Amino acid sequence: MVSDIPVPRVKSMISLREEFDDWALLFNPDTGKVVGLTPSAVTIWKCMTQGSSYEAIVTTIRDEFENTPQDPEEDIRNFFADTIRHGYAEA
Amino acid sequence: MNTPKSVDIDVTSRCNLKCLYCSHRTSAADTRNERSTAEWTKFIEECGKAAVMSITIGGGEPFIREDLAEIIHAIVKNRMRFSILSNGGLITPEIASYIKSTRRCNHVQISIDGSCPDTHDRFRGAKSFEAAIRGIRILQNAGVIVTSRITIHRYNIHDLENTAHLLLDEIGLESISTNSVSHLGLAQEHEKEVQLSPLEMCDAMERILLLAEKYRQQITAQAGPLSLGKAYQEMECARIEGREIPHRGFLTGCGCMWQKITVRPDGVYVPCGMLAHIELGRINQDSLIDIWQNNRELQKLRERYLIPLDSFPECADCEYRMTCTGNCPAGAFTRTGDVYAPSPDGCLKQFLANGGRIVQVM
Repeated sequence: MVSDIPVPRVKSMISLREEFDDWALLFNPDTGKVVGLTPSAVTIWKCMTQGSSYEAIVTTIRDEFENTPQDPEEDIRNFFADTIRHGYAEA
Repeated sequence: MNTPKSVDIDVTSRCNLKCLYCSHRTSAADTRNERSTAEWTKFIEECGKAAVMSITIGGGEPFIREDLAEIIHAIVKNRMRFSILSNGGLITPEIASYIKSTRRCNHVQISIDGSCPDTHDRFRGAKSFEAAIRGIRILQNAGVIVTSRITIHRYNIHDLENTAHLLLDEIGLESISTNSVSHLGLAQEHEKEVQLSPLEMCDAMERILLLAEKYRQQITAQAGPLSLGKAYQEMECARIEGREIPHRGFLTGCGCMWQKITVRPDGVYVPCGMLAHIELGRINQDSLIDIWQNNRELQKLRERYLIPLDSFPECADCEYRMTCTGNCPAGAFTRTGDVYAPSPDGCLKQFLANGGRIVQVM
């Protein structure tokens, strides 16, 4: 059973810059900082911007990525924590 | 890249100055039907949706536009950062304060050509030095990051040391950049007055290379004596050692077309401000993303890197060929009429044949 984890709220000024190879950059125009996102992280970020629940995000990752670890939840929670720590989202 | 990382918008051709070497006036970029606030705002919104990260506002003189604050506001609202290129003469405390309040300004670049009015004003006009320094001070007082560009010409070579001291030590700028006069616009009309001879270029190279060494990391250049001086050293070193430099030997001198696009004051997309005759489309009529990804002329320009230098008779037997990029396509076009050719302006072989030398500084 998927845990009920609160999904961070993305900050409205953050820009997602997608590239041809399914990778992307998250850009904070206030600070000028940029971070690269893997394809799975891009998917998680998009789900976050759409207001998806944690359970829906986990399901999406499992469905869309063939090489998903058996338990992607830890990776997803780590990504949440990273977005908050780096100022791209807030709790 | 999927979309341009940055966009240059030249918001006006108007300017309060008429510098003798101005590359804009009378060039293909000098267009009179400048776009309205609403048109720029609409285009900036499109840039934001395309995830463009920064916009450089140029001209003419951007601060001449009464709606500059609104243009900046549109950039900020659409999640981008910005820089401004200016002569500094029209900057007020109010606009400086507004710029600071956005927290999105990378820098405002002010053109300074000398350490005193005698040198600076010679090509830029009476009282322009005083106005530029005042502009810098206003921006600094507001907390805006300021940088400066020195355009090196024959009448300020002697003043380079003092100019660097003024800007970096006295005024306290974190960094400055240098260039030399392009063969565009008014500079073409006044070539004899403004262009550096090979011997003058050597003098400039020596001085600016020493200054760059002294002020480590604080003086940069994309073109002109500092950039060429370093490039020529690298090429000569490779020649002596008998080696090639990776990605050289082809027309690889420009990477701009892979990262950014420019819009003329009349709203026409062009590859860059110095290739303003190559019209790619029009803002708010042609999609930015479509132009960027599918425009045939832009794609062809990006494929310059496939053209080998040995396909040009003047390069075929050059001992520097496999260390050379062919330099700026705009320089190639203004000198030869062909953008798909090497630029004579950056040609080391010609430079040496005309009396130049590889400048080495200890």
